[in-house]
Amino acid sequence: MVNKKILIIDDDPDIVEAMRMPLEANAYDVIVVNCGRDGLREAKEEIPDLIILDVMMETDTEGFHVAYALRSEEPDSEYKSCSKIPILMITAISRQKGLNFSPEKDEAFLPVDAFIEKPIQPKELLNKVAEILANRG
Amino acid sequence: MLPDTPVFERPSVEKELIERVLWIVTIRWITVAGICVTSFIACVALNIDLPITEILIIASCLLFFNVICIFYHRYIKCISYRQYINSHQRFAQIQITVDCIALVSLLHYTGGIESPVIFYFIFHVIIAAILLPRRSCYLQTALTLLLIIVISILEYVNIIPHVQIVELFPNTVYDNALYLLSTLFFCVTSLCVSAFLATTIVNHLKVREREIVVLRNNITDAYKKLETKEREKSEFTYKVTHELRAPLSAIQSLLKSIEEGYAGEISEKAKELIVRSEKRTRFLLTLVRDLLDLVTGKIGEPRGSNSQSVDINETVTGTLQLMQEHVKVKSLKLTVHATEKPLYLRINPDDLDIIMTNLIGNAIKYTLPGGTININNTITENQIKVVISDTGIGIPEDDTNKIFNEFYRSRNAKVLEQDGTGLGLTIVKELMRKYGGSIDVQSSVGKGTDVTLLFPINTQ
Repeated sequence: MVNKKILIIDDDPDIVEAMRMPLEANAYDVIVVNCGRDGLREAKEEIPDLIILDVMMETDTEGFHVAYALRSEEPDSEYKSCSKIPILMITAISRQKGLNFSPEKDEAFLPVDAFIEKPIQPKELLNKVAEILANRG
Repeated sequence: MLPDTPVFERPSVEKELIERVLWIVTIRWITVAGICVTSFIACVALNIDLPITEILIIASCLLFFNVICIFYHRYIKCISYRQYINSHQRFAQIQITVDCIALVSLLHYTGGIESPVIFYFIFHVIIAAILLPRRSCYLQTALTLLLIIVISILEYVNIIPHVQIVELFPNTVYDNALYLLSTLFFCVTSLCVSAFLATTIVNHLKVREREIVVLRNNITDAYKKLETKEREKSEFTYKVTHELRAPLSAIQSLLKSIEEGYAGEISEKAKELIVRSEKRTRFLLTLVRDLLDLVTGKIGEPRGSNSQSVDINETVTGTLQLMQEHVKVKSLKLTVHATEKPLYLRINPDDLDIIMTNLIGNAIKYTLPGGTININNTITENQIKVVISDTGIGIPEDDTNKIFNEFYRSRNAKVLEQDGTGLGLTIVKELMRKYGGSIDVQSSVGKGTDVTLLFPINTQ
């Protein structure tokens, strides 16, 4: 059986490492990029089974833009092939920065499948990843 | 802006002038009524033979003039505010001149230099001093004196006919040169002294008034600066705390990975130390989160754009669901009395979440296993009341007024729970203040605590 491929888009190498260790230990293949632009490129080339996406990178909302680009419904979207890849969004900004971002409320507006909060708890991460991948078959 | 720039001085001084100009219009109504009543009493009750027709004509002219004044005032107000302001000085001048002419006419028809009306010129001068600048007041006084002197002399030399009120002066005195001179002398001196005294006092008052306006503006300015500083301080705290969050998150995430063995086997001692480090880091993260909540509350605009209608019953249930694990572990008995209908409140849902999480969290944290927690939501005409009662360890009496202080934790709380930032109640109080609500804590040690929240119902 081929290992599931997970693309992590996050600019914090320590958070990436904290996620990579438990994921690799559980037989996932992990690809890491540290900005939204590279993330979009990798998503198109690699077509991973899951994308783990940070919100705040170069800008406070870069992750949102990546998610919108991947899920774009434009007929000639560059990322048409990626529109079905599930996205797990990492967030630390609920309550902060006046964005008033809360998963329950904004899920409908944000084209992502699940959220995970920083700091990363390995068990929670693994559970969520397994759950999303199981749902997608 | 310079600290002593009187920002609102001109408008408020001008407003004052406009009010006084309107005040003289009111005085004029009273004067007209006074003239009519006095002449009526003199004619009918005292049988004094006054030239009543002429007096009534003067009164009617004043009445007519007053009506014109009111219409002019309304008309100019509609055209432009600037013109309205600028024209008021001139408007006051015209009114006082007209009053002067009316009073001199009245003087003439009631006996000229013999008339008791002559005393009333003192009022005229005082009103001029109140309404006009010092120079104009003196000019008005001079004009008044000139008219009195001219009328008296013209009557004296019989160029204009003297009106004799025989009931008062059976023998004429207006043609007595000495009487004329002495009366004129006292008239001139009393009007000049009145003008001097009145303008001096009014000028003093005007200076004082300007000082007060400047002072008030300075205070407003200082207050605004203080508010800005306070805001800047909060924003700085916010930024610093926010910057602390990312590295702390990373440390905590890494420690957790090591603790759970993803970085390979480690010794028991190392694992224990990692667990301890992880716990301390987690506490720091809680502190950072609380500090962020606290300063966000301070930075936040009251009734900010993120306010929406939130059902308190739903928020309470939601918060309890998140905490049910802790309730179960401690086997706490939990009852919620919600109202039948939803209790809608205009509030930022995140703020309400923070309030409920902190208070319900405290109740769970400081109630011993097997205890009871009661939450009671009620609504009155203009406020929503939430009471969170527990049978917990309570708060020592000495501490009840300190628990809202930043970082303060009561002694028995520290004994029961080592971790705690001491910021929760400060945050809640700050948020309640932001929404115009209040929080009250009643507690007795060993018996429990009742926390009462009152939210005003915002009908907007």
